Amino acid sequence: MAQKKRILVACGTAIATSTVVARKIEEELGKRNIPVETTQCKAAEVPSKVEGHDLVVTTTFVSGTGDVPVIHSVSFLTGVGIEKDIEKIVEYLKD
Amino acid sequence: MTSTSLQFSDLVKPECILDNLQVGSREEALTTMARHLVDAGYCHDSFVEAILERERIHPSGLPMPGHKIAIPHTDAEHVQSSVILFARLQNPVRFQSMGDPDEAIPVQMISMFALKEKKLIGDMLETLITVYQHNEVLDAILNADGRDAIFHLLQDAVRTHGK
Repeated sequence: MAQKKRILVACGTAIATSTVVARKIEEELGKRNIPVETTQCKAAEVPSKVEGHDLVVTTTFVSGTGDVPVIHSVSFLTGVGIEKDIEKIVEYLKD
Repeated sequence: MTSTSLQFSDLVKPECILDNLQVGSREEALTTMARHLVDAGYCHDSFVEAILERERIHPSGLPMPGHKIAIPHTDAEHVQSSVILFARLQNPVRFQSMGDPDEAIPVQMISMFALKEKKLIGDMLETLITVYQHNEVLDAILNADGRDAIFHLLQDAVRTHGK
């Protein structure tokens, strides 16, 4: 089994919209048999927490992500464009 | 009642639905709503400024497929007792979109989350966001006949669509 990919999920509070996004990502990637581990944080904490993650998904503006790719999207909240964002995530997590 | 047993139906009350709110800007809408929660004893005074500040840094407008909404919230330390406030505005005001701060969206319905328990905010956001993805629900609320009708539509929608 492939090693779990690590996704950092950010929002303003670390407990609000990032919770909804993290649950949705785990659900959708679970359906595709892609093991992931999500960690939630505040947008301001991203620079100090990004190390060791394969991807950042955020509902608000973030900076200081270094080489780690970032997806800034609200599709998991509005329901518009979820499929496209999941495809993007899957693509980024490919070895 | 323990906090873990709080349900949506415990958190939305007719007195926490503001109908026909007449405001001219996002700031006025948020201030009026937050002040309502402070005056009713649900939030500390600091909640008002915390909501405004959070909105400036992290906009809460959501470009749903049909009617747009906003979901302002802030840190739990400003909350005394958990509640969800819903407002229907007489006229839409412009909110910045959460996904793209350069995009302004017209918002006529606002859910303000004042929740003390961390797990509750994730659960309630998930519940209401799932509901708001159904445009027919927002359409019915926008056209509802008064506060009690809005209250019942929200309760019914959460029972039907909520997670």
